[in-house]
Amino acid sequence: MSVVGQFADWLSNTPPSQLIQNVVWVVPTTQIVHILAIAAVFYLMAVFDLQVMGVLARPTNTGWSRDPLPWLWWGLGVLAISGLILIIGEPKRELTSWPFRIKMLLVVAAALLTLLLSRLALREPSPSTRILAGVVLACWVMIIICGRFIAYINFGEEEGL
Amino acid sequence: MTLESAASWLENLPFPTAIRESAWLYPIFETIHVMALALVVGSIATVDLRLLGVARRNQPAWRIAQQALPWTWIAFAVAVVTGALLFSSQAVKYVDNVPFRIKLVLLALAGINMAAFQFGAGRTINTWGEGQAPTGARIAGALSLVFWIGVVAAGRWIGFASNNPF
Repeated sequence: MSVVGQFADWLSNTPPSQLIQNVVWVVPTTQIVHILAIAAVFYLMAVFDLQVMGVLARPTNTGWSRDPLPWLWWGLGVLAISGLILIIGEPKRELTSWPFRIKMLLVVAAALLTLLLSRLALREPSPSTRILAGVVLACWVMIIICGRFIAYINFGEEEGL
Repeated sequence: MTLESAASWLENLPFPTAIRESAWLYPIFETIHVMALALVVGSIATVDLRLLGVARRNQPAWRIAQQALPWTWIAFAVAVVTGALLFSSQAVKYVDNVPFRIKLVLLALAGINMAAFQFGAGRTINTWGEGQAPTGARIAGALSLVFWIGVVAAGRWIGFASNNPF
């Protein structure tokens, strides 16, 4: 068994994981919270990215004077916390899954690129800023695809749930 | 024709059968369905939260609605088409699935609420400016949030109540 598999095994036997596994409503409820946060983040990101790309009109009177995405960071916080609860509750399903691993790499990349973009977008966007916005949007789409495919693909050595 | 025999006829049509027998079509349509639903709920929530006075109080409600509603309708159309395809592939199972039925009822309630807003409290939306929305509009916003959160919850519950791999 791989190191990750052993870690997942250990984690699934810890009290927090046992608690999540034994209280049947925790995982479904957390998934619902996770999806609602995805809804908020994905819509805000899509509008923002398309505005920076020039596909949608930029906001005029209210503008982007400070943080263009004030609600986004709250949404990402909810995603991180609910995601962590799901990982602790089902460590093998998540940690040994390739779509999950790709998703985590994309999340780190998307978060950093979004932070960079939110700063660059305060000025009139250059061609490279527009391309960056397209890359960021593509990252978020890929993250959702990978997230859903955790349920369907498991090429790891351990059986998924 | 009973509901069950109609469902059985539907799921044995060529395309529903192809979805059921393919390893990839169901997950692909489901992923598109989730993305579309996320855009429906995300866009409509910005309007609901503005009506409630929770978010973006510095912008008039009509501008939030103007930005959100094209997203809501296009994404809703995509969600209906992909949802219909998912349903058709396992129709016999879904018609008997309680969370699925609850989801349909909640969708209908969300639609009725939206129509009531459109033809009732929402008619004067252009005159509200940046201030607080009228009581009727705030009630519609709150109901909309409740119904759409319910739709998401019921949708997720379908996966746990049926034998699908969730």
